[in-house]
Amino acid sequence: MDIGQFSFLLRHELRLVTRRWTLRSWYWMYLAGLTILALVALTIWGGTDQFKSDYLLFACFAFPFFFCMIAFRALKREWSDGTLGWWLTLPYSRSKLLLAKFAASLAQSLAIAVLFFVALAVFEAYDVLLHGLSIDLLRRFVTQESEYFLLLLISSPFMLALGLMMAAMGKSKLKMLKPLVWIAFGLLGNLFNWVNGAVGSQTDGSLNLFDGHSAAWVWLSLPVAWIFAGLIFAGAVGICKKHLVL
Amino acid sequence: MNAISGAGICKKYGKRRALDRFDIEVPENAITAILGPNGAGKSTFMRMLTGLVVPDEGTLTVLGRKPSWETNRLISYLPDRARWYQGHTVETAIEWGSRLLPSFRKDEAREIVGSLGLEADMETEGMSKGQEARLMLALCLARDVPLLVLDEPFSGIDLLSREKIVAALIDSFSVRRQTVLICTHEIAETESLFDHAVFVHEGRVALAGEVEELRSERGSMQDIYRRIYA
Repeated sequence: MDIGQFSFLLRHELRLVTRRWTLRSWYWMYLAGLTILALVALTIWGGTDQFKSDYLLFACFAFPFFFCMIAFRALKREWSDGTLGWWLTLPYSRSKLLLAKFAASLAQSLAIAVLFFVALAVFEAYDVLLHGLSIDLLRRFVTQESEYFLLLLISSPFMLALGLMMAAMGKSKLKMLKPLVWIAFGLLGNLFNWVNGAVGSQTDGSLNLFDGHSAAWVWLSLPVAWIFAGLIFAGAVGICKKHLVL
Repeated sequence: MNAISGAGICKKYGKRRALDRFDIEVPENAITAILGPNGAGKSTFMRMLTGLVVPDEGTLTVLGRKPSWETNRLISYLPDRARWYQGHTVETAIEWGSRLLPSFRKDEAREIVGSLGLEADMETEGMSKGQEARLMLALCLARDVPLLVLDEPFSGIDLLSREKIVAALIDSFSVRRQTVLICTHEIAETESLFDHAVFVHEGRVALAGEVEELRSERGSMQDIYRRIYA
């Protein structure tokens, strides 16, 4: 498979995802409703501890689970939509076919995360300007967002690979191992709770990931998490090669 | 020369044997019908040809090689009960084929979809089952590869669509030297297409041979079918 074919496959995957988002107009209605609610809350209660943009950052806790489901759906779609016979008989190795799904899921996940953090930064800026708060608050908020984004970068390859493995396993002879994968999903998807517990967030909500002396293990965990992601991905490829029940 | 050779192939799903010491020889550059009732093991065998299913035992060679994703470069495969990607138009489906399927001829694909009564801007969403089947068949026929494998191309399709598909197959086979394998229940409408037939029963080959010889020895293909499976 040359770069052109891989990029076409990637675009094909992204097109299927985008189509899903554009078809479901109620997603956007909910999103618009939540945005309006957040802005109203910041207008009325902003500038005090009664409502801060930081509270919205808690939505990040669900992101690793959400990312896993994005990858799960990307693979499961092939058999639920009846296109598996086309996809799996393409003359490309299983690793390349799955890599295209992985890359498309990663792009989708990171796009969602970036949009979320940018939207929250805009909310924070609105709060600061509306209530005449110190601009330093906005700087601290963006730092905190960067920490959360870093954690998502560390964990997302693993959660995406896990999603692919869950989907492949569901269609394979190895179905009996699914509970183990669900346990991994529950435990590892809860990353933000674990990190908060281990690092101990400060009063300003910061995880101190960028201050140079604390939480070095978080930085070290990055290559480790990605190596594990690679192993899980290889497992998903192995299942698609030899263990699918078709 | 044989395009496909299989010996002692076994495949089990749980306790059920889909293929049980299945031996087969498919001649090169001929149109071979794989016939049999539901559950006989036909689709399992067709999937094996593309590496979708791996035999538990036995040997299988396709165009002289063990089936894998690499041999799929040489095989145009229409999967059983397949659907096409929603959100595509006929033209984007052709683009998909031309970008991802080796030896895909875009102009020929456009010609075939036209002859099958489809238009370039038709969306797959909202297509009837027959229209979708015709689109998928067109994508298969537009590939210039040595082996064409069609798994139930007429399944659940209305009479007019079936006629269009048979006509497209006849056109395609008349201009190209290709080994063709068709798995079908629609013997009456397709009998005239076949050079060679393989009757599969309970995971084994019950009868195989040249269609002309079988006809002269045992009557029409439908009569043979009834005798084997009744």
